[in-house]
Amino acid sequence: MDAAIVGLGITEVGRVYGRSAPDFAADAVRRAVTDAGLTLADVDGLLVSSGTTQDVDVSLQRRLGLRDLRLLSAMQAFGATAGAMLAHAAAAVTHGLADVVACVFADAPRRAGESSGAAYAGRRRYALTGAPALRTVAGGNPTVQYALAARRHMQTYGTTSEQLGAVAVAQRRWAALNPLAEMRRPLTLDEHQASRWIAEPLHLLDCCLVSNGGAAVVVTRADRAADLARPPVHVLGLGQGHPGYPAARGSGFGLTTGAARSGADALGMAGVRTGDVDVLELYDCYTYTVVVTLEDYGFCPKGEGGPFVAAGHTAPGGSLPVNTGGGQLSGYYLWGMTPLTEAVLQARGHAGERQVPRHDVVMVSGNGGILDHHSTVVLSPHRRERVR
Amino acid sequence: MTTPGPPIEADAATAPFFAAAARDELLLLRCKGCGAWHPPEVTTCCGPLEWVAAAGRGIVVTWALVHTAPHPDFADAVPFRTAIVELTEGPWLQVRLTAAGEPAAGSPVRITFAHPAEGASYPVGVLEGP
Ligand SMILES: [Zn+2]
Repeated sequence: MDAAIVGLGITEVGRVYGRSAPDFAADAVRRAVTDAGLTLADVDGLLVSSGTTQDVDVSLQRRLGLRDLRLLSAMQAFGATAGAMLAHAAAAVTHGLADVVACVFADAPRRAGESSGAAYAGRRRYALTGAPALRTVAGGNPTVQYALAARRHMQTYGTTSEQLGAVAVAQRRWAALNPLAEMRRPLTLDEHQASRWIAEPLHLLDCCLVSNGGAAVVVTRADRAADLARPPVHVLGLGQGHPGYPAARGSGFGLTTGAARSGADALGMAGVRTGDVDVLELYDCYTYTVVVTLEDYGFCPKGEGGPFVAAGHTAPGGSLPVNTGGGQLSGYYLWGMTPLTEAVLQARGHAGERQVPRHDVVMVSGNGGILDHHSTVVLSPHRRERVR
Repeated sequence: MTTPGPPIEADAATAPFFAAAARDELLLLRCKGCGAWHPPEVTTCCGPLEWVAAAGRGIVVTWALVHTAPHPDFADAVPFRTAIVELTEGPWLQVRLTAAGEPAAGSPVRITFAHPAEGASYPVGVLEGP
């Protein structure tokens, strides 16, 4: 792989109203291209990804006035899409299918005066026919399914609600240092424990935010990246894992995720080990997701993700900075673009007050569906041969 | 007792499953090729799939106590427990647990059926005594 991220665009994000997801998407691409020191005329590839509103599609090309593209696609692997788009873009520029590829995600589920729960519930489509309807009448929905996964992890490994709370508390400490973060007020473990139940064992403060906004990255070949406006962030490793859990005896649901394969593949491609990773940006739709991903990536033994976080390793000042912008729990929720955007800022050394001093290897996860889809990206300010 | 939740209906693939549920009978899919049992959503194996009566027994794999109604029609029913049950035959089935009692991983469950006023009958779970 011979690709680098050279542009980053993040729109206003959070409780920003009156703009559609395609509006945010177009804004994010313009920002990312400008950030790279390029113009829209330089872009010959566009990959787009929708959130809940499902209206960011290939028509974004016309909205941006992009002519004669050589690569254009809408991609969907839910929370794993940002990593999947980056993999597609990196392969395309490496093999000459395109020279400058913009990858964008945007969503606008929130409406003024409405709670974040209502924002999602109002747009949810319920399966009411055939086999999928059985989950609906059983009382399932995405949050409930994550609660089922978390409970299985707790029952099997002894993970506790307090350990999940430690994830939320650590990330809030990082968010306090991030001007882009929505939730910056300090959070205590007691407040986490006192927050209302959504679906036991998940409290409200185990769940991510819901945000309006968009984010984009621009990818080009590494040799071209050196002449551009920003320090290049090289794509060293890529991986994906889609476990296809059987709904039957022997399923690893809740215990092991696609992160195990995806992480190992990405680290292998990058030629590094977990001990070389300086910053870790994990998809954190729920606190539990952070715990299980830490284990599956091999940063701690299986079942010890909870104690690992509770010991303070992932918080500011800890040995393994994780979700340094506050993540989706406290920062902003732009699906896989939340960890990816923060990773680019950290790799560049442009993360301000929260910048991690050593940032040679930055690892990023994406998780989609109910732990059904996983993507991993390993980034570095250095080319592969200069890492380690 | 009224049944909470939205009305649901069979599709062509699951018509036998829901017809059996109306008779308080649980069907699962079994492959005529290899004999493997499958949950209702599976559509392919090495051979043809047929609907076969299942024992209607299983154990709790995991469960959640749902406090925020996952569908507006559950608004008056929260909190309630939902569980993934591993049936004796091997397939998993997610069901509402209809009787009180705190489950644990491995708790035995008996499948019974909800017969709502509107829509198809469907399986629910009852925790069995120790
Ligand atoms: Zn078979």
